[in-house]
Parts: sequence; structure tokens; C-alpha cells
Amino acid sequence: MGRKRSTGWHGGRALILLALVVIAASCGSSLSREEILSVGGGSAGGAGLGADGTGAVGSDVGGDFAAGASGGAGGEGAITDVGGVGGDVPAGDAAGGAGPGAPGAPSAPGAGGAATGPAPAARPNVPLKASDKGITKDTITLGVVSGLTGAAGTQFVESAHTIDAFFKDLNQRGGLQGRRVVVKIIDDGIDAGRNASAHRSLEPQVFAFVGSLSIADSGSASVLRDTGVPDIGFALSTPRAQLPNHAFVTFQAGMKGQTTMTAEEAKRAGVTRMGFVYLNVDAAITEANAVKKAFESVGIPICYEAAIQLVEPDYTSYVQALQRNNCDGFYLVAQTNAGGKFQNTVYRQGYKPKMALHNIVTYERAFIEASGGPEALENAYLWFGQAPITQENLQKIPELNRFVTTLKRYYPNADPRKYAAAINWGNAKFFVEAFNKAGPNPTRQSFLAAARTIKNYDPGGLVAPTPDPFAKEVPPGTCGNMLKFQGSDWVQVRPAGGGYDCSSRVVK
Amino acid sequence: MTGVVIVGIVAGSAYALAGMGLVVTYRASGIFNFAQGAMGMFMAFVYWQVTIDWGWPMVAGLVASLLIVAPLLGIVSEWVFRPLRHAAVSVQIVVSLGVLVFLQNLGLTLFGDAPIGLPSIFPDGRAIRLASVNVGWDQVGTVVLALALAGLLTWVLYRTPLGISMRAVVDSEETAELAGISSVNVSRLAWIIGVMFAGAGGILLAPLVGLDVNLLTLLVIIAYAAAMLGKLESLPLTYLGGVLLAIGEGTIGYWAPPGGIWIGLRGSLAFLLLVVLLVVYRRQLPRERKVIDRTAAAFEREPWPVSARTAGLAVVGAAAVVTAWIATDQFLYDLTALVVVATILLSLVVLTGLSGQISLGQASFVGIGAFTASHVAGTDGSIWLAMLAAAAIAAPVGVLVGLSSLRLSGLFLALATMAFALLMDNLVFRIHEITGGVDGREIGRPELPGIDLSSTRAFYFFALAVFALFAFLVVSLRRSRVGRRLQALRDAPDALRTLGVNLAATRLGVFALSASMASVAGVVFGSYRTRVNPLDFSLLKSIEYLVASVIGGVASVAGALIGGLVVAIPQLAAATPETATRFQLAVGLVVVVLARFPQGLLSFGAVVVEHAKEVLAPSSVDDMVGEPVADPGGTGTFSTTPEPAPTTKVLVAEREPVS
Repeated sequence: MGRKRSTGWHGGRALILLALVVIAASCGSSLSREEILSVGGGSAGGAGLGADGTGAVGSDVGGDFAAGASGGAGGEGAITDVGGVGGDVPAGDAAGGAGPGAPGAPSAPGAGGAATGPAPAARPNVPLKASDKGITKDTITLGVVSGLTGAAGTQFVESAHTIDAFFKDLNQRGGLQGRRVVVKIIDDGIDAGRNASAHRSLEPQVFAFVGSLSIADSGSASVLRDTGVPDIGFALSTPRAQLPNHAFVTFQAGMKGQTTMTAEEAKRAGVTRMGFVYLNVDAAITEANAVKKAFESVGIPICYEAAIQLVEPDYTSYVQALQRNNCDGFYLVAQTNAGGKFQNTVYRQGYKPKMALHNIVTYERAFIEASGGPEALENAYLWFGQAPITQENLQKIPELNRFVTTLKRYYPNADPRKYAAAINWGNAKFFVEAFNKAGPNPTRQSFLAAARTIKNYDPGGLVAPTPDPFAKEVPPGTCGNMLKFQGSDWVQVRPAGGGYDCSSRVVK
Repeated sequence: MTGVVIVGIVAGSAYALAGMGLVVTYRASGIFNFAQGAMGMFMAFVYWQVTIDWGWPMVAGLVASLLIVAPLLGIVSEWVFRPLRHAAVSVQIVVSLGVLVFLQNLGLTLFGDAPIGLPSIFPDGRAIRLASVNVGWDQVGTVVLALALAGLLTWVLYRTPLGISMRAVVDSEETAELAGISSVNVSRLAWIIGVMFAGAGGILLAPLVGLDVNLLTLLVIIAYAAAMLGKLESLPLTYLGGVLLAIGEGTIGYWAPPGGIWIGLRGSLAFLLLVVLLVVYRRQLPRERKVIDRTAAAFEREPWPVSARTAGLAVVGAAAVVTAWIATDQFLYDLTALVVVATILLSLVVLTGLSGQISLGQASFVGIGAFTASHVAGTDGSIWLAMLAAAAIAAPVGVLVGLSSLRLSGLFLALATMAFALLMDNLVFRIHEITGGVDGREIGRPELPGIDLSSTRAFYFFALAVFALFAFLVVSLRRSRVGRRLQALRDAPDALRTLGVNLAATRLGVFALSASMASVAGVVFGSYRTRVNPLDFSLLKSIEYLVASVIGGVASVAGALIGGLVVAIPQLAAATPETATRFQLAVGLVVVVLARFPQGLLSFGAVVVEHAKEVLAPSSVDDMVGEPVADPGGTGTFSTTPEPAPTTKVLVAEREPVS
């Protein structure tokens, strides 16, 4: 028609583009996007609780769950696991033992309280009904709003996978009190507006939010506050953390103070001057400041302090500054790769601190690889708060085994060492326990009331016990543990042999 | 101090690699490639796939990434960017940002489970001791390779016929063609070299910063300062810039006292340096501005007739009102986000669409407004006073930023505004007392006597009213004498000067106005959210606003609405990670398509209508004279004639007022 276009979609170019995409696609890993947070709780429940019986999860420690006759430790109203990976049913106050949750007393290794006495694996006799939003006679709907894409990359994906896997597994074993659990997950893209909107849209549909994790979770505060919907999870902002309907397991942002555990361990290691290097973001700065006070309280002065940027091509200047200031120990708050690279620089420069202290984020294997290997991790310590994943612990701590095997079953590529994955397992388990305490047809209010009665909560030794999941003033990490790198992996050194130490004092 | 210098050379080589990649692509293609980091990371992912996941030898990984995928990506890139050589710089920027978004999400889709660590191609461990510093083999390798590449590419660009051809094509395509140089082939080769360089940089740098698109892109942004020291031309000077930057950072890290301003200063050094260099070099920067200023006029032409626009806006307006009564509360809440963002984008219509200035820092002004409201009004609802305060505070800051426009335009103005955004992120928004940190600060819903604006529906209407007010302001401005002056400022500043108009005052005025509009919109944004934190106003948000604005069409009110939709879709769709990634991929593709329709989706629609008319009622060639033709000659602009227009000549159709 006389109209000439000098540009356009020509066949040759299309083929080139196609070729590029095909090559790129064929290069792709076999990441299955079916694992990306499918909505819903997986297959419908079986014929009854515990129907799939012992050993349903491959190498899972069916025997440990099945036995349980001794009652074991555990908090008040501990979940009872019946038969292999049998269903979670209420044990009421049947669980025995003081449990490891009592602050002030180091717990016995492995006394996680997972192996509790048998309980009836049956649907409650009371007719089930729709007792509140998000709960029908057949289903319980839960919401998760997490930052799964965006500025934090895929850092939090495992934490959401964990919630999904936990409830899929629960459904496979009969569900929760005869109801199937449906999990609805929304990605907020680390955007407070999307976080708020997601909470608003999910709130009418869900009974509770469980395991939400996002840097932008301040967006949720007003929705959670106005609706009073239960929120069990790991808050990263104070407005969410301070809500009366918010509960957490083990770690919690927005609280003042830290325990002196790390400082005491540093003193034991002979540290006399401690340096602090932290990522230049709010959460890291807050944590570093709290830990600094703890060190000063035990008489270890701060010799150096610096904030590193999100991207640093080289850390030598910081390490040199630590050496110049005669620091014989340092605490680093950074991401996995940055932490490993920093540790590699420490090794490369021949700097030999008595304690190179890292936090829970660096538990991933990638940290060890980035550091250059075991020889670069001399005197490296990890301030932890959960059971390290070792062969011994997998045998000794049933809940750890169940967490790892279940996560890998539903998400084979998932890394159980990833940040907050184990903690979210604890959060999911806490929800189940509170739900069971609230009775077969709970409302949100009755659920919260029941949940508030749970003290010294211990999710089977998987993570450190929580004195009060609804606490607003108690600092995090009252109980905890510390690891030291030995051989080829982290080994628990405090308390030696396993369990958690709750004896340290709190410095605010 | 010797140790700091040694460390500076080591760390600076990483910056230099990133910066030199930018310079090579820029010199060879004329495009400042914001997607450089993403391209490098994509190549690093391919390298990881072959060497780590498949366990093949390192050589196979290098061949696959640098000799197979990089050339293919280079060819595709050339195809994408070819029409943009003479397009408005905001379109160039936005398309390269679109490529960044696309590659980022393609990488996430294909390699989402790749670990963040990537082994260096050089052996690990200690190598030599220089002064008081132990230097590893990987660091030695990075330094040597960076120097070698700087030398090699300088030789290629300035001493070989190929390099001279590349530069000739960038400088004047027509002259190069007259000299028998195939501009397409040369440009294609230039892109291949540029992408290969990006790939080499990615494979070398990923072990240092992590196998993460965001981190490598951030590293490249830091390296802009190094590239600017070389005036985007000299690779040796770019290398020197990287080293000096690293020495400066190292000096602060080594000697600075803890805490306080030093933390922010170290992180901001690169951006401060960028601003200083832009000011110092303002007269010596590559001469792209003339072309870009002329083509900026492409924004002006409205592709739709007045009647169609009037009808369209009437339908949209009616639908907006009706929706308030039939939509769910949740949908209305999310729809309000669209309206609020569209209001923010109207500030870009004034700045970019009307006067041809670029801003990659608009979210910072939105943040100024929101945080001002949180302090002035808090939760008591008196945001009217906050709006006044927000405008009053933002205007002088806008003037400050606008000062850069007196000496800079196009890409360099964009970089200056980007540096402003990063400085705001690093220095101002980090102050807890101002922003509340990650917890943010609360802002109440507005209060009117007798009217409760706390409900979702009421606030929706409030947001619509503010949008309508802004839209009226924009349309009135455009039709006014001042508006025509702004358009003249964009199209023919020299002519305007001869008429006795004070260009500096006009430029500063439009920056102040746009900043104030964004800031007032920020008050509405904060009131909508009820709690805001610094993440809401980061550079990424500024980029998002510009991209959305250009996708919709930066010259019109309707374009702002479409842009608002682009930003709000993930919220409206309540995305899962999978859908979020797919959406981002789609945005990337749309932006790439935008390269053919630089006036935004509205113009795309107009072209579709044109073609539909053509099919339904074929007409003679004579009848078609004077009708718009999409993208004649691949210039990325519109012509009023059916014949291909000269690539440096921008023909603008009769201007019509914005609707």
C-alpha cells in the first residue's frame, strides 16, 4: 500500500530471537515452578489422622514419633504426633516434663518434646462448622504474605515453602482436626503497599496469617490491627511486632536488648576488644547496636565499627582497620555471600581473631563456599537459635528430621538451612498447637485466647524455646545456642552437646 | 596509605570492569545501557549452568556464555535498540531498563535456584604480599584482565578500522553509510562486543558480589562515576576512575570514625563523585544532546484525534465513578493505588512530556511529600496543611536538582537526577528521625468538615479529585502561554532565548513545579498507605515511575493513567511469585515493543487503528500524504509523510492540546 516500514519483525530476526530463547531455556536448570507456592494444601486428607502411618516420609524417624510413651518434654499443650509422621492432634495438658522452655535453665540436649504420648487419632466428636472467617466444616484457610521477589531476591522463598510443605504434609495425614488446611500465598515484592493490599484481600478469606516474612511488613500493621486477625510469624518491623494479635517463635524484631550469650562466649574465647561490621540497613544496625551493649556489659570494649554497603567488591580495608585497631574479635552482620567474602578476606590478610562471630543468616552452605573453605573459618562462630542440621541431630531430634524431610519432599531444591525456614516450621507448629487448644470450632478470638496460654513454647527442639510468643518487651534470643566451625561444618559449642542455653542475662 | 592504594587498585579493577563495559557499549552503539549489569549476570548464570550445574570444564562455560549466548544476545540487542539511536533519551533509558527487567526475570525463571556464590575463574588463596596487603590470585587476575581489556578495547576502538567504523556510525550514520560502511552490520558487531564484555565482567564480578542480578546492577551503577571520569569515551580514564573511587571508599573505611555521617558518606561517594564530574565535564561530554533534544519533540504529538480522546476520557471518567458503587472494597482500594500513582506520574508529564527534561529521582520528591505529611499532619488528618508544606519544601529542592538542567540534558541530566535519588536514599531517607527507618511513619486519612474520608470509597473519590485537579492543571498549563514556552524550551531553546526568555528561570521553574506536584501527590500517597517507609521512595521506584510513564505515554493525562495501571497491576492481581515474575517479563517485553512506539501504548493503539482503517478502506497513496507513519526510517519517531524520513530530521505532526 505504499507504506514502508523500515523496521519490523522479520523472519530472520525472529529466528535469532527464538534461537536465543531456546538456547537459554535449554541452559536453564530444571527448576520446577510447580514448587512455587501452589495455592492450597495439597492433596486432600486421608481417611483419618495418621492414616499414612509410620515411615511415610522415607527416612523420617517414624519410630521416634511412634514411641512417645514417655511423654517427653515440651511446653504446655504440646502437639502430639501419632504414629510415624502422624497427625497433629491436641494433647491438651497431657505432655509431661517442664520442657526446655523455662528461661534460666539450660535444656537437655534434644529434649525437644517432640516425642509425646499417644493421643487419639480421630476427628473430634463435635460437629465441625464454620465458626469464623476462613474456617468451614471442611477447611481452614491460612494466609502468607511474604517478599518472595524484588529487592531481597529469593532470600525468603524457603520460609514460604516451609509453611506450604508443613500444611501439605498435615493434610496428607488427615488435616487439622479433620479439616483440610488451605494455604494462600501472596508475594508482596518487598512493597509495603502490596503487602497492605495483600493482607486486606486475604483477611476476609483466612482464619489467620502464618509465617509471613517481608522487609515491607510494616504495611500490614494497620490491617492486622483493625481486623484483629491472628498473625503468627517473624515480624521484621516494630509496628507489626507490637500488635497484640501477633505471636512469634524464637526470633522477633522490634524488641529492645539482647542476651549476653555471645559476649560471654567471646570472653571465654579470650576476646578483649571487639569490632563490629554490619550491613548498612536498619535491621542490621539495630541488631549490631544491641549486641554492642551486651559486649560492653561484660567488659569487652568496642574497638572498631563500620557499616558496609550492599555491594562491596572488596573488604580488605575493613579487615585492615580491624587489625589496626587491635581487635581480637569481630561481629559481622551481613548477607550470606558478603559474610563469606569477608571471612575470606580475613583469612587472606592473615588476620587471626579469637572470635569471628556471624549471625543466623550465614548458616547456608553458600557462606562456607564463599569463604573459601574450612581453612578460612578458623575461630568462626555462629550465633544461632535453632538445631544445627547434622546427621546426629537428624537422628536425635525428630522434629528437625521431619522439617528437613518434609521440606525436601515437597520442594526438592529447597535449602533447609535458609533463613527463617526452620523458624517458620516452628511458627506453623505453634499455630497447630494453639488451634488444637482452642477446640474444634474456634473463633479468631478464642484461638488467640488459647494461644496466649502457651508459654515456654518449644517446637520439638527444632528452634530455641520461646518464653512468651506474645511478648512485646522480652528481647529475642533469651534462649539460644552457639556454633563453631570445626572440620567441615558448624558444630554446637554452647551448650555443648546440643539443646539451648537460657541462662544468659538480658541487656537493654 | 600504601595498603589503601593497593586495595584501591584491586577493588577499583572491579568497578573499572563494570564501567568499561558501559563505555564500550556506549561508544560502539550510542546507547547508555542500563541493562549492562543484567546482561553480565545473565551470562554469569549461563556460565554457572554449564560449569557448576552440568559440571563441564571452565572452557566450555566460557565458550557457551561468551561465544554463543553473548553474540546472540548482542544481535537481539542491536535489533531492539536500532530504532532508538535518535529517539528521545527517556525512551532509550526506559527501553534499556525494560531489557534489564526482562533479563532479570528471565534469569530468575531459568536459574532461580542457582546459589548466590560463583567460584572465580582464577585460583583462590593468597598470592603475593604488597606493602601490608596480601593479594590473591583472583584479585591479581581481575586487575590484569581489566588492564588488558582496557588496552585491547582502546586499541580496537581507536586504532582498528572496525573501531573507527563503530565510532563513525555512532557519530553520523549517514556519513558512515556514504563512506560505504554498513551501519547495521557495524552496529550489530558493536553490540556483540559490548555484550561479550558485559559477560566477561559478569563472570569476573559475580564471584565478588554474588550471583545476583540486583547486586551486579548496583555495582554497575556505582561504576557510572568511573565511566564518567573517562567522559564515557576513555577506557584508561575509566579504569583510573574505578581505582580512585575505590581508594576514596577505602580511605573512609579505614580512617573514618564509626557511625554518623561517615556511614552514609562512604556509600554515597560514588554518586557525589558522579555529580561533581557531570558538573565539571558539562562542556566536554559526548555530543548527543542536539539529536536528543530535537527528537524529544516526538512526545508532543498526540496520536489520537481530539474527539477520540475526549470520548475515551469521558468513558474512563464514567467508569471510574460507576466502579465506586459496584466494585468490592478490596478492588476499590487497589484501584485507588492506580489513581494515586497516575497523579504522581502527572508530575512527569509536566517535566518530561511537556518540557523535555528527564528525572530519575521523582520518587524522592514523592517521599519528601509523604514524610513531610507524617511530621506535619501525623495521624490527625490535617493533610491540607501538609500539602502546602510538602509543596513548599519540595520546590526549592526541585530548584536545586534543576540546577543540573542548566548545564546538562538528556542522558547526563538523567544521571544527575539518578545521583540525587541515590543520595536521598543513602543520606536523607536513612535518618531515622525523618523516616522512621524500616518501621516507617504513620499518616492519617484527610479530614473535611462534615465528610468522612476514612472509608475506602470516600478516599477513592478524594484521590480521583486530586488526580482530576492535577490533570486540569496539566492541560491548562499546556494550553497556556507558559506551556507553550515549556514546549519551546524542549524543542527550540535557542529560539526561545532570542525572544528574550530567561531559559534558566524557565528550567528551574518547571523543576520546582514538577517537584511540588510530586510532593503533594506524595502526601496523598502517604495518606492512602497510612504508613510509609524509605523503601517506598527508592531509586527503584523512580525508575518504575519513569518506565510506567513512558509505557503509557509521557505526554498525556491518559498516558499517566495507563502508567498507573502498569504500576498497580501486581497489586490488583495479588501476585504469587510466579505471576509476579511473569508480569515483569511481560513489562520487559512491552518496553522492548515500545522501542517501535516511543510515544507509548497510546500510540501503539493509534497505529493499530490506522492499520485497521487501511484494511477496511484502502485508499490511494495520495490520500495518505500527511497521515502519520509509525517509525519511518527506524528513527523511533513519527512522520507526517509516507516516505522514510531522514534519520536526523524529526517531523512533528500538528500539535493538539492534551486531553
